[in-house]
Amino acid sequence: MTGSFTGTAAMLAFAAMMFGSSLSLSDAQQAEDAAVAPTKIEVRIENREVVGDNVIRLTEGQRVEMIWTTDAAVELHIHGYDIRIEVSPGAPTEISFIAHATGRFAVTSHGFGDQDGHGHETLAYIEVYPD
Amino acid sequence: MPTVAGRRCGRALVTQALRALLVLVTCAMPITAWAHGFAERYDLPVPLHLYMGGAAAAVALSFVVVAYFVRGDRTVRRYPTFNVLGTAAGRLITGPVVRFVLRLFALFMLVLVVVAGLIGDSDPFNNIAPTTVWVIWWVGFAYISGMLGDLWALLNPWRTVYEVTEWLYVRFKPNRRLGLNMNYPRGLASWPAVVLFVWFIWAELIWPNSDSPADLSQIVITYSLITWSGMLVFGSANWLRHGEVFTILFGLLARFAPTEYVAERREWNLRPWAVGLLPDKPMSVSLTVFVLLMLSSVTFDGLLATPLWAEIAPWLLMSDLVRPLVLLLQDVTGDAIAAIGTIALVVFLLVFQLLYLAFCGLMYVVTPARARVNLSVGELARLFVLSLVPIALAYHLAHYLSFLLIVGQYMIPMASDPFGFGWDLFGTSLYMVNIGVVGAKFVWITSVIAIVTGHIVAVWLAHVVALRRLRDSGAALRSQIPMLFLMVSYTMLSLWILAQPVVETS
Repeated sequence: MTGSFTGTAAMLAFAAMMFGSSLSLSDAQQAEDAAVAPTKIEVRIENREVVGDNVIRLTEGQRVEMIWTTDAAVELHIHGYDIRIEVSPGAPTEISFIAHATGRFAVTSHGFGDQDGHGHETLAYIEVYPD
Repeated sequence: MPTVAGRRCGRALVTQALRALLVLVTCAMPITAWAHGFAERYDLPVPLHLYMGGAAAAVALSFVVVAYFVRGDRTVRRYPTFNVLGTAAGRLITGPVVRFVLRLFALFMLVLVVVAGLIGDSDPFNNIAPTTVWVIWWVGFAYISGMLGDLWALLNPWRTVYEVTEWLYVRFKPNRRLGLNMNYPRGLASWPAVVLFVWFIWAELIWPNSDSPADLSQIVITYSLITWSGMLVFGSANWLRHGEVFTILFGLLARFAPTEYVAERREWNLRPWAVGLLPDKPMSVSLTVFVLLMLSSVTFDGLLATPLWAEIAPWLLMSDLVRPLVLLLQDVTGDAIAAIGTIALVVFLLVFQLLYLAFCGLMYVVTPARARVNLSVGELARLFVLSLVPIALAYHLAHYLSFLLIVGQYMIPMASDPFGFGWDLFGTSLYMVNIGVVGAKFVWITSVIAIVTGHIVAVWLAHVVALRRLRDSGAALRSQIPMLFLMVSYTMLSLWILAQPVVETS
């Protein structure tokens, strides 16, 4: 009985420790990475799908420049980071951001081309992994 | 969202009746269906090495627990307690003023949810109702119950309303009692709660409108009316024990918590973790079913967001066996995805019950009749079901940790503008949710540790129950082999789900 109690206490202490360290690390990492040249990532949408792997993997603190091209006008929404862009055919759209938070974030499309409201569909996922 | 063309005529009456039953409002909004009620999780899948490490630790530590019991009689019957009410600080934090404020606050939140749903903005992220219900209350209260104790028994706003009404009634009509105060039929047991719980599980996991404030408000009103009707007919104590889902649900989780309230002696005790899950006698059949529903619904919630389900769902939709059922159900559930989800949910809940019963059957077979002291398969099932609770609780904590900390932040802007009217009561309406509040590493490690710990506690509990109830200790240990197998499988499933990338099926 006491075993389970100390176990939980140790778990909480350990968790608190990890929490603290991950916070301070990410701050330092961000400042350092801000000076490094951004990683360029090109994503192509064809026939309402992302060409190739639809999971984009990043590392926490990475500076990213994402260039989106599409064959049909679309409004994109990166969840979590809450970035919204409109992309039109023949006009690549660039977004740059620092991947400050870890997690798996859906990139959804709102209304392809005709804008008659196709609800929203998940096009890709952006995964930001810890260092 | 794909919608299979519906054929409405002919079934209109049935459909309408079902609609009324499920309180599906006709102004159904085409909002994307998220699993677990509202908003999304941003969790990264637990990496393979942690998943494998957790699995290995669960198995290895199971044997440590077994070895511990093999070494002698460890059938702890009593445990140390410490009465917090015996200290001045304890009396202060549990005093009438604190209790009054807490109960008033809970009541205020219930009214706020209903009002926000009725008059507030229809955008779930611009109305306080969905976050309050699904994140703070449903997810958050499970945490509080499991970690702190049975706070719901005190806060329950439905009980508060009923008690105040009762008090007023007696003031104005002395010598009379509110309600019918009928005897509660024994045969009914906790079946009303089981039925209402299935409805709640469905609303949480499948219902496409669960994030619509107006619809949410309607089901809260409906549930409130059912609860008060039950109390009026059978008296509040009876209905709370047998019909109020959340009193039972949070009460079950609070059995894990390190506190207990002993009404007879007016003690609020600190106690070792999880000892509340050691039953004195077999649970009733209805409560056993209730516990199994709790376990399976938590797991099903996780399964709904896996790539596996994303692949199975469209396949089921196309299969000749399921498709007619989907066409039949989708008018009631709102859309085809919800229909297929409903079917899967029902099947999963049933299979889980049967699997558990099958393992209890195995336990029955491997335990000699002499040692079993005439316990039937059913009695074994009712005796051991509580020992599985820590695994479900641990999975719940792991699954929702980052969700609670991230989505819970919506309460900050919404506190200032609960109805989405553009108010700024506390100057926080422009607060932006910080998605970086917890790192993935922290969530991974906490999740795996929680799940392994939950597993170990479960194995320990089942062994204690076996040693207490079965006659010879060798037979008791043998009886635990099937149980151990079940628990390891259940824990593996939890870990496996956490190692899956979250995908939304639409």
